[in-house]
Amino acid sequence: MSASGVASTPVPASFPTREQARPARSRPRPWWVLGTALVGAVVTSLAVGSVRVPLLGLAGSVLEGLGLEVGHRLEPMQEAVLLSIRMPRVVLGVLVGAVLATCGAALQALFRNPLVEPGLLGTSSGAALGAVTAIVLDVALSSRLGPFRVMAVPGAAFIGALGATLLAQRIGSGGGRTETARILLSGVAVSAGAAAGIGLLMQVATDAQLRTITFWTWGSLGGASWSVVAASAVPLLVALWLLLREARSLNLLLLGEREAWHLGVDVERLKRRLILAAALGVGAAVSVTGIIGFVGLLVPALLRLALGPDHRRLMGASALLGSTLLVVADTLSRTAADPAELPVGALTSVLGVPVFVALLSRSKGTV
Amino acid sequence: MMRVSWLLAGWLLASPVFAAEPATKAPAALVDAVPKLVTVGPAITETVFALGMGEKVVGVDDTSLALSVARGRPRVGYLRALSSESLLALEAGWLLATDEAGPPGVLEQLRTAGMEVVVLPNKPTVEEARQRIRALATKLGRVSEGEAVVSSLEKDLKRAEARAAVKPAKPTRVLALYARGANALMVAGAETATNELIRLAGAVNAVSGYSGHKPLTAEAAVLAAPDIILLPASTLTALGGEQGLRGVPGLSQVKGWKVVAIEDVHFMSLGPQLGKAVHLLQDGMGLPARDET
Repeated sequence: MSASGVASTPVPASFPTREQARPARSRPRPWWVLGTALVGAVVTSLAVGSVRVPLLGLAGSVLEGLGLEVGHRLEPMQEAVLLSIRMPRVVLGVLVGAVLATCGAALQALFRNPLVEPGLLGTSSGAALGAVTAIVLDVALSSRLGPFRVMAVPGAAFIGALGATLLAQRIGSGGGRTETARILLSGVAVSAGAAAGIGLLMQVATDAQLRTITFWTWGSLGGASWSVVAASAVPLLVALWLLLREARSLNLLLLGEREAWHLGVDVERLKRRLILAAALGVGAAVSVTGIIGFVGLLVPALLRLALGPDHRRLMGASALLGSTLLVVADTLSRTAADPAELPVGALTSVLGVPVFVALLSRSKGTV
Repeated sequence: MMRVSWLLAGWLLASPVFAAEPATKAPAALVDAVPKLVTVGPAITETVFALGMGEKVVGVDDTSLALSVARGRPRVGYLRALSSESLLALEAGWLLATDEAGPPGVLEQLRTAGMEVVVLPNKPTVEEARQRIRALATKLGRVSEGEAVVSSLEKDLKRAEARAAVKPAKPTRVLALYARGANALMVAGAETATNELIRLAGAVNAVSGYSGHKPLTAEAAVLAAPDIILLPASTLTALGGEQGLRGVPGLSQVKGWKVVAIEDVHFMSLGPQLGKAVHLLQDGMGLPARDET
């Protein structure tokens, strides 16, 4: 049965300015604001840090790269800091922030609940269980893996994330129909199981492993390098693309599952696709940065208050704001308490909560 | 990226680090051949200072700050959570670190940025402590000073051995504790620096059956039945002295133990001063001092 009333053409990436039904709540072009904020955050993040990178030298180096000698240039060390420490860190922040926020937006729409976040499906705790297992088994693994040892923890985290999410989905979709409430409950159960596993593993972990584990569970972009970015960019971008293209279906899903089905959305397949895409994205994110909470919960909820519930805007806007939030939080994490690095997950909350509360108290509408 | 590596290669070749090893020249020239240093891990920091290269140290990790010699030096953060940029900002040429230093990604970043990263093992054995002193001495071009530090350590240990030769009727049981935070007392088991100190002093560790550090439980404290409680000075202060220690669940039930406080660094690694710590413990055990002739 094809729903002839609804054209099934894919939504173009640029958004037509349409008269909104609720002019009070609509801001026709949030893209300028969000885009500018992201560019500002990225430039600031590249410019600040313990190592001073003078602008004059930077300009000189760039010009020299273009074949113009101007006498000013960066010291090799400054150049190395910029190119091999700050840049990969910023790129990773942009990617991971976008993916976490977009996953949050998609899952909140899928479960029609603004309190859902990617961790609820067991994804984060599954990743943590994988990582902790790899850390505790480190000695056994390291001799076999050789040069791939660096990838052991992220790889195990990724497998753990996918495994836990698939398990939650399998338990939740008894009898072929995926009940959202059941999936959430089974996600909670899988999370609890993974947490118990972590607790038991921590009992057999050595002192050194315990410290690695705590470092990992705080979330950090500190280990970013081009190889980490290269390894994680593919799954992150694929997940982002898979989620962004479902914007229209998500809008229809907001009407209710039956209504969406009558409008031509294959709801079962949509659920499976979204959950898998979210597992792919969050799994890849958690495996390289550890657990960074709150971005996936806060950013989409905040934007829904500001922009209204149209997912054709909400998804892209979430990606931009998620990136911005994470890049700003990471910049603070490495500068605020120098030489120590603050856990970036705590800073995303510190930055986000006041804004969220302010918006919430001002908004009269429903979430 | 290519250009950066060429620049780095050029800079490294031009830097004095790769100049031919000077034979025993005037110390001034030697000191000049060594770039600025960041030392991570108390045993390494202490050794570098003992070798007379303290003036070259432009940054130390938080655990090294417990050393009186290193006080007031710029911090580079906690040894397992170093931050690459703050380290690079100190413009040191070499990072001398224990193998606990991390995270691994950060060490990689430092190498990329042109720092030479030297990682030394931190296995808690006397042999390893000797090796570490010699390795650092060779690296810093202070071989003869290194031998002097090693032989003074050997002398301390010889004296300790002589003191321990007098065996009591039953071995002294030592419980080694340190505070990992408020209300989180940890006990040192096998394969820890503290366990090695206890062995060298001729005592036995009151806990057995595990390696590394485990949280203290009241029942384990009673079971351990220690004659001596060995702890870092900072932990004793944090607990509120001996009075506070007597209030710790479990320890309050065991009677007749004595407290020996040693410097914090001895709980983390075996540095050049480990012999002194052994003697402190032996003083606490009431072993008569013996002077080697």
